[in-house]
Amino acid sequence: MSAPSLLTAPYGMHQPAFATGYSNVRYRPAPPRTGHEYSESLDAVDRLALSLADLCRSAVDPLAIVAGLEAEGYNDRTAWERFGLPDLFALAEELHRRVPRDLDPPHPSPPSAPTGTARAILRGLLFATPSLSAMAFLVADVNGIARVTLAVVQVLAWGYGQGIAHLAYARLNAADRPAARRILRVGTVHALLISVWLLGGMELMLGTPLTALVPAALSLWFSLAAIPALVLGLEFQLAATLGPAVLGAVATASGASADVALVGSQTSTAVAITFMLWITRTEKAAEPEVTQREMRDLVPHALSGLGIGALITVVLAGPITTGHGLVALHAAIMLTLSMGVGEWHARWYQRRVSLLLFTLADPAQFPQPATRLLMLALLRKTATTSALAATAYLLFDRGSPGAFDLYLYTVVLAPGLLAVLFLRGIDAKAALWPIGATLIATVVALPSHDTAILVALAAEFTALVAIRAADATARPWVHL
Amino acid sequence: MEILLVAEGTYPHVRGGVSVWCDQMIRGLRGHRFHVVALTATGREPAVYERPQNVVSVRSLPIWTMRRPAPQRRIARRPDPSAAIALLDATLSHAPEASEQFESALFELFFQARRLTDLGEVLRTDTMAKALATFWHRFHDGAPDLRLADALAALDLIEHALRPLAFQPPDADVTHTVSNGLAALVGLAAKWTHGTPLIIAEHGVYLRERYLALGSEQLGWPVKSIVAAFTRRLCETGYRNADLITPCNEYNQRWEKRLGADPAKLRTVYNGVDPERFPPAESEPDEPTLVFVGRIDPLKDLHTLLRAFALVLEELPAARLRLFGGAPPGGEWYLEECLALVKQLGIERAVVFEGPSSAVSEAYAAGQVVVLSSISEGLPFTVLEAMACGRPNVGTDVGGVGEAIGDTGLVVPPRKPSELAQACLTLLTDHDRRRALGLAARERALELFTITRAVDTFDEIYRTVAMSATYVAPPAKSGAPSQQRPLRTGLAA
Repeated sequence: MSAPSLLTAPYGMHQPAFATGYSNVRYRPAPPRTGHEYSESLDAVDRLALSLADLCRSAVDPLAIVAGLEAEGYNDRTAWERFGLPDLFALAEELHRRVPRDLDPPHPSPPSAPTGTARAILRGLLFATPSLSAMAFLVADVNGIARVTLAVVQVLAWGYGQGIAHLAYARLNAADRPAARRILRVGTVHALLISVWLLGGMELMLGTPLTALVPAALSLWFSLAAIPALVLGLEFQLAATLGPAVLGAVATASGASADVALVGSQTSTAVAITFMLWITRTEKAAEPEVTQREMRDLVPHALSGLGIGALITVVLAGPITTGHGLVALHAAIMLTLSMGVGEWHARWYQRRVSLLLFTLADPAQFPQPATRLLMLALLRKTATTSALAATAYLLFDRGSPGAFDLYLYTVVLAPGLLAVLFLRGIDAKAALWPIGATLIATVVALPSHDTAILVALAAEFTALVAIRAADATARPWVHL
Repeated sequence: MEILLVAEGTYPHVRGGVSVWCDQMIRGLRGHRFHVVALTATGREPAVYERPQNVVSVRSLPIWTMRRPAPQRRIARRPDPSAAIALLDATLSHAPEASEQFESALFELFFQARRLTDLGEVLRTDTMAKALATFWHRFHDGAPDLRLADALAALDLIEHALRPLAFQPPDADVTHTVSNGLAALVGLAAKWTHGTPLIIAEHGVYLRERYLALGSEQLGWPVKSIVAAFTRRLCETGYRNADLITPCNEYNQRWEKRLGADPAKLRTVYNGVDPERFPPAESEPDEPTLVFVGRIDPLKDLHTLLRAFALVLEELPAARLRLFGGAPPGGEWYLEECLALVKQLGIERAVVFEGPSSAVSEAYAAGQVVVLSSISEGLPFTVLEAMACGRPNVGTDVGGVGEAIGDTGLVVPPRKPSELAQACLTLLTDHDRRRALGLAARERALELFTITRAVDTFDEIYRTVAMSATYVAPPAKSGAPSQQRPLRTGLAA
């Protein structure tokens, strides 16, 4: 009868990035010999050392060998009868003395393989579907109030999703996958029901045309249903649910009725919701207890998600009112793609920082290269977003009034969004005031239609969060 | 009396042998009031045991939450790293006095955790990472530098392990921890706060099990080394400060003495079973049947049992093997391995994995002989229950199995299928001897291994320890309260 211990984290709580090169230790039984001569010249302890070489060379001390020997079924009696030693402790010390540990400087082992590039990009794309879908329906011909309301619903859903995801991640980190699934299920179903209520209310009160409402609802529901799959790491399966929508869109583009695309979207959304219900099923229907403290902890995550969603929507939706809806849609698609690439940059940064931790011994040597890596990641994000923006501009919107400024806005904003991602991982609260301040300033500046001001505000936002992220990531262990 | 019962990762949130024991103790000791402190992973674990009426409070002490426990009265000043540095020094040092230095540093950190700051602010700093690297270099001659990732991982684990120090324990008459290690930290906090005497019960051996667990952890060798050293010092401190240590078998005392436990403070208290729940099995099955009752787990070494049974079948083709018990979550792979081995050995027709059984006494009655092929045990309930049912055991000579069985069954070396098979054959074929051993087993169980006996023993221990315990605080440095604490002299306190 033995009891479990909490001294090491429950499985899954630690990043599996602690593997080191110490496993290079080798048992070295004097000169190598083979066959008959070998077995005769070794005494019983040597033979035992050979048979338990892995245990002996990786043991941190003789007591670890005693524990291993007992688990192999050895006891004091066998130590005496087979090896002539008084007890197991003496046998373990003898084994520890005979089996050397190789203390050659180990090569830094790279941390476990990061998520693949394709998965990272896909994840980013799917994660950013709300902005894409928001733009898609905001260009529809609906009246101003309905459009604003649709945007608000979409942004609220995004923030809500961030909060739910944070709660679920906390459960996953505590190796409590069933509770994470239950939270995702309950949270998503509630969000779906609330959205039905809100959209129904809009229809009744504002008379929003169904041609605008239905696509909006479908994209919103897909976005909500996507959250559990993204949290649980089922990006490829989630992407597969988009199949009918893609097929419908292709058919419509090839000359079929627009209804085919609509049916495809409906099917995709229905499949995504079914998929969400399937992957979040749990054996026990017990409600996971969410403490007040957890609710307080998730607020910064939800607020920052809300703020980012609002920041993107309010600016890219703004030009629609001045007749640049298609340009805004293109810019939104471009920004969405850049967020996917941003996920790849984030993985690149995490991997490099992990390698740094496995290379350095002195913590004082960490901040400078870590900050350099952060800046490099932000520059990479700027470069890829610029390339995407330039391509979109040249292909679709060259010469369109206001298009250049709109694309410039997204290019300047994009590295800030990546910095927020880094910052939230360490200190979620620190991201709040740059987001809040920029959002307020942007809303105030929006009626002027002065895109230069908006670009300046985006630049200021990016600079602020980059500085904060640099501070937090220079010595992350202090903040965690 | 008021008893502070401290369990780590078991009662009342997880089912298992230790939790059964806790439940038995609390329900049996109705004259005492229990304050249960459960060290948990997240604090959200639901209780799976019904709360007995004499449990005054149940407090969950989460170790792995993101948010750290805050001190009860924060005094605004910069965290002093000297105690934490001294703790790391004593953790890695091989000097004879290191263990006492560890205790002294732990006491300082206890004071800091309670009054000054959260220990995370002290431990998660550049200073501590550098200190750890320095000590690593000093005490691991020839080893490469400790890399920052390893230092931070080790400090993280130590910070989590020290969280029980911040706990404000109730003023009980006795602290009874169900294991050493983190649970003992709560006991030490109670001792340093109220002078409460400390009893450490051990069902396995805490340090031994941590070594085994660390072996399979996804941690680097330096991290394992540091954490093992920390755990060892912690266990030494627990043993040294315990007023009484109660292992559940004699064999485990070897570890306890090795880690500095005073032999005069060691007292083996056997686990007990309820003879009414495990009445004598009235009849034997028609076919010669071996029974295994327990988890389908590598520690039970069912491969050896299956290989032994294959040998039994060669001699006794009518023999059957029935295994009662399920695989724990995450351990299903071992059941699959066993099933594959059954197929490989060609013994499918005679082996049945029955799964978990709610009527355990009927499981023992399903065979003539109960077999346990474990490679590691404390004092397994399955052996005691089989004895209470009047069934002879064939068990492996590990932990307290031999002590429990005595001369009422056969004990063989572990991992020896042929010897296990021979012992099983002996009892299956010698009816008179088997029945005689079964009767003797029942008598031995009633004499030594009843709940009543275990409960009465602890009742007596509580009273004795509370009356006689003396307390001397460890030497403390700056900031800590007076080293002289009032001696707790008994029930009046």
